[in-house]
Amino acid sequence: MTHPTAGLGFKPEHFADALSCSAAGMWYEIHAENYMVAGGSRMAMLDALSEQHPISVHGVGLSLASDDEPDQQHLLKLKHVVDRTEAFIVSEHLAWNKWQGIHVPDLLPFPRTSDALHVIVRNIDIAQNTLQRKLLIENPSLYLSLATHDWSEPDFLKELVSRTGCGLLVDVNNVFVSTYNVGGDAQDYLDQLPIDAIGEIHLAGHVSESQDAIELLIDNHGAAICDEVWKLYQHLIQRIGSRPTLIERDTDIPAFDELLGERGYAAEMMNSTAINMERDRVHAA
Amino acid sequence: MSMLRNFQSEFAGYLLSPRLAAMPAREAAAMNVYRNTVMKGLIDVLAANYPTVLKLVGGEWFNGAATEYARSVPPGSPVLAAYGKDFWHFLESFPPAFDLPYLSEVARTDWLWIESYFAPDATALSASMLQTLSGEQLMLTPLALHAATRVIACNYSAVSIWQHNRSDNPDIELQVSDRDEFALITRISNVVQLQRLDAQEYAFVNSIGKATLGETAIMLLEQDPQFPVANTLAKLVNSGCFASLSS
Repeated sequence: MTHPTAGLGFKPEHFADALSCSAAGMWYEIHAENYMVAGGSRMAMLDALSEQHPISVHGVGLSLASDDEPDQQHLLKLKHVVDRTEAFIVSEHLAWNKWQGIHVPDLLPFPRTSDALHVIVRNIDIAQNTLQRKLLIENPSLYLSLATHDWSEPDFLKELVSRTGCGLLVDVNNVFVSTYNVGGDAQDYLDQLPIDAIGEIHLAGHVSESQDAIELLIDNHGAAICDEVWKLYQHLIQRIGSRPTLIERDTDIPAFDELLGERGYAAEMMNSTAINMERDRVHAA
Repeated sequence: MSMLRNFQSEFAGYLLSPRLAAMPAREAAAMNVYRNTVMKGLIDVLAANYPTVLKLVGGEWFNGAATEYARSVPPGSPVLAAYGKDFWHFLESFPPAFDLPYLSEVARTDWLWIESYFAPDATALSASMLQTLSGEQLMLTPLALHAATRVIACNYSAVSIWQHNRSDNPDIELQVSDRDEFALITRISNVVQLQRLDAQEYAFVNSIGKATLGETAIMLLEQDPQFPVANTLAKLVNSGCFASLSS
């Protein structure tokens, strides 16, 4: 296996192509909860894939921003998926999705208060202790403006990093979507994130929807990555250097080759940015 | 109550309620993104777990039923592969389904298929393993079903309807009656399969785990002296119906 560069979100319908793909640096990300089943073809597929390619495990159900502590049983299931795939990255979200025993398939917002910071630090500590490894925390896509934030999102993430030792998964599309929807400057946001903490980058497409003349960008992972997001990505890696970068596509899934094309574009951008950075370094010396 | 808890309590109340409370337009637009994402996510999971129901009733009808189910039985786990285990039961008492008496049994067949699909891996009892036993040992053997084996008994031709809609060759004419129908779901080499059983074969599989093979054979032969015990056993073994014998 070569060093992981650009990867794809794994889709079972692409299994044969994904398994045999020989692109240098290819890796796959899975949603952990989809593999918390006892057995059968889904697990067999995962075992075969993880034998051939590096796997990143992306959790969507820990609900780290819940007032409640993370569920121990769920954490142990997550650990099982991580161990089974020998995952090279494990990530979760700065969001919540459970309330009084009900779990919803979404990543919900919360007011970034010092009270919330305290709770989420506790929850990340619990998760990292059970998993016995570092979690990368992903910035969410936001739709709702809340007046009650005490912290900006970059500052809140920085604080989580310094208090828990967690890393960051920077979703560039989420930054683009969120700053459009609730205000702020995407490039300025990215420039504030601590370089050393960033362990992975996500890229995805979005759509624009209007209700009562109010336009919102929806992070639906259902379209090609737009030019603005590619530009922000380039800007980010020019500052921080290359990181494992994922192309996410969860709806309107095209043929494998189309995703491979976007993935190749990210790998090329990483490569040329690294060459330019090296040239600048030599010139400066 | 902490501020975070207060916020989550209020927010959660908006997510699954049929109508959004009055709020400023920008807030309502944002809230609807979350509400739509949650509902679409749950409907998609139910559609994936109940594909034959979706095919029978169409998207609009299915979305209506799934929305009502999701509101009354939201997921109790973040593992959504297992969401919807009571949906077939819900359809029994869902008024728009009263004209479709076969629907909940078709749905139950979909769900048993999903149970089989995600069941634990285990070795199935093979014919060669069975041949190592003497006739007497065989009769005393307490057989057990493989973890991925399910049986179903239906009215209203639900198994025929299910097969017709899942078949790659749906041109075969569907005969609907109110006959009882029986089916066996097994998983061979990770592929889930459904095959028809007759009433006696169904009784045979259903007795597994409750009696030895000999006791089951006697029961079936008392009902029908012609019952082909050996052939039925061979058919079931070849379907991967039983768990490997523990040594």
